[in-house]
Amino acid sequence: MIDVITHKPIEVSTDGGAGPYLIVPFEQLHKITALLDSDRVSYSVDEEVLSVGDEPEVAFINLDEETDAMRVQRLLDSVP
Amino acid sequence: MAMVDDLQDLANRTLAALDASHDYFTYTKRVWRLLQKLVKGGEKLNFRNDATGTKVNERTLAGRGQIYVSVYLMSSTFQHLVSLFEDFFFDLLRMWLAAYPHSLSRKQLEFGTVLKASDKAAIVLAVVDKELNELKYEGLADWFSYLDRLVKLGCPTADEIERLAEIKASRDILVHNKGIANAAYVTKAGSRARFQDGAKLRVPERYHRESWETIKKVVGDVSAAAIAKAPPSQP
Repeated sequence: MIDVITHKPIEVSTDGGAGPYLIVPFEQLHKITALLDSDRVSYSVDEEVLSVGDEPEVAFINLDEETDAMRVQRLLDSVP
Repeated sequence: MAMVDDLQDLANRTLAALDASHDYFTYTKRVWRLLQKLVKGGEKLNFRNDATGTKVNERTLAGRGQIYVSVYLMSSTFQHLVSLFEDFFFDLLRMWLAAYPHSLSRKQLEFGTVLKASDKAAIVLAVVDKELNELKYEGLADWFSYLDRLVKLGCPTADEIERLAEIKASRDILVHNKGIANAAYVTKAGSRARFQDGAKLRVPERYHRESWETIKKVVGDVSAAAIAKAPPSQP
């Protein structure tokens, strides 16, 4: 899936030890959570969105610690 | 200061501290999110902690931000919210018992404590503090039963007490059992238990928010009811 802000593929961030996470454009949030739901991926979405200056808002999706980040990445990559 | 004023002051301080704690949680989290977004956008940086000798670049720090927010920040601010509630509850009981100590008439005190006391008020407070120190080791539902025997406030609801009991049980697990739920947690949390014995206890953001809301509502309701029952200020 392509990030509509950066025009690059959306990537699962795996740094750190508290579980992978995604930073996604807010306008794509619903589409991505629907995709995660369809594959029964467990996640939580931050209550707030972030916007810097005039840039579009982004949302943070936190995946569970046990989540297979590679599997989620493949899931995202499967969507054009 | 009259008791009504003391109670109002306690309520104001507690409610303000609850808001300040939630602000700290929210804005600290947002700063970490900002950093993670900047790193995603290509920002480069290097930090070093002279005390531990660790060095981090932007990617390491962004990753640490994830654990700092979802584990450390979430857990520490949750514990702080519970501490604020406990301080409020026992400060309120202390005020009430100091003003109406007759329920403690049959309590005993070492004579040495009496000899050291400067006046009768100091003796009363010594008995009150002894009583409350014992109450602290009982369950949260017992705290409210105790308060109810002292003064019928009509709040919080049974549902709110159950929620608070689970919140307090979660806090106890984080502080005393390395975050692993045990049989004591299951017993204390009762029907509201979120985890089974042996499971890793989590503090999701929504639960963190709901806990803050529950505590704030109970502090507001209990203090308002106590103020309504307390003797008015003298002109």
